[in-house]
Amino acid sequence: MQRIREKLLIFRASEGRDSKAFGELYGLYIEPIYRFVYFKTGSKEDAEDLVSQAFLKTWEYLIDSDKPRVQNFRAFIYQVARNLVARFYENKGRSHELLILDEEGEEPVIEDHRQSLFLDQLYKSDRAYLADCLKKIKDGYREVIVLRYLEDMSVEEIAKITEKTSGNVRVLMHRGIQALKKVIQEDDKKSYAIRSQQGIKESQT
Amino acid sequence: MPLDLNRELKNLKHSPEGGALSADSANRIRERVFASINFDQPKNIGIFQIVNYFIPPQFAYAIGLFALIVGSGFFAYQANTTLPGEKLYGAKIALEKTNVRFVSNPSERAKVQMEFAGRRLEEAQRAAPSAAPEAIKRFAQDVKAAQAALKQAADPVQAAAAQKELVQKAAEYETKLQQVKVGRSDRPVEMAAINEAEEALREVAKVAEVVEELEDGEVGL
Repeated sequence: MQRIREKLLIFRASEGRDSKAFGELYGLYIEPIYRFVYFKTGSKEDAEDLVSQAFLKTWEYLIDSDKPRVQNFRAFIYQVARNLVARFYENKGRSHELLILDEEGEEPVIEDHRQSLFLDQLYKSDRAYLADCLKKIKDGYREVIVLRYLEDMSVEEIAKITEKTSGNVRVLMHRGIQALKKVIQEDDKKSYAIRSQQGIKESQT
Repeated sequence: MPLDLNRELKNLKHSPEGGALSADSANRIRERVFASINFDQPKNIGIFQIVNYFIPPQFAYAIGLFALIVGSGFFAYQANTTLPGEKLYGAKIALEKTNVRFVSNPSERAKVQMEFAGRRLEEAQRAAPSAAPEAIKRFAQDVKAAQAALKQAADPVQAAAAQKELVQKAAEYETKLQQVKVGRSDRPVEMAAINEAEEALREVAKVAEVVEELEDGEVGL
């Protein structure tokens, strides 16, 4: 049903230049696109700017009758946003990390066998911490994790947006989760060490 | 703690650190986007655009055929009101010819053909000046075709009845043709067509005179 509704909105926006239809599409995608760009840039200001450009470019594309029709709006607008971020980094003279993949694997089951009460408390009370850890991993991993776990996209959709194969996406997810866990565990060790020292100091005073 | 990280990642999007869009950011972005877009030129969307947009090319033929079969009644109705020079006029003529072919009795076929001739005359009156000659020519052709069909009639009684009807129609059409002729004397193409039509009507009248002269109800066609 959602797909049919979207197709009708795209039709009205592109063929009829219907502002209301485009406004509805905007409403459907502004939050996920903003979130996607925010995690890629790390800056709210940059994200606002790039997201605005993404929607403007999308509108220009829709009303251009010489361009091929948009079949999947979701994938399209994510690709537009992604390309804008890549260009943003190029202009800043920073390169995006390229990940070379040479294996395929199953989607990872996330398991954490550590029974750290500290970590439990941290997860429940501080999502900022998790977001911070997410920002510390490579963009290629982060992108796939955000699309999969925050935006609930399928592997096939992610593959379409990132222009990779489904197998590559699965590998990225697996490696991304491993990288994220590593960041969390290393950070946890440091925090535990600090707390241990603080505990020793307190007992001494 | 299996799947905790999974849950936390899913819940992350609702927090500001997880990229949740604030109201201020949302307003700023919306203003920037919609201020830059020119919405002043909306376009009208027709049925053709809708069909062209939503039906994949590979299905267009099959759907077109289906629509042709199912929609032929509606199509025929629409075609029925068209005039020479309009898009569906050819289809209208084709439908009428098909109708004629399904009439097996020559006497009846003659009547049907003459009926269609009358339609051509009405079209000539309503059509644009440039398209009128086509209607007038078709009128003449239909009158001749009616005569030709009657010649094939085997049953003398039916033939006589059909002939009588043709003569009545011819007289009626003669009057209408004179109305069509008004104001067209300076148009040679139209006059040529009108002259041909008048000749065809005269032939009908001539045959009728011959029939009246024959004794014993013999039909000498």
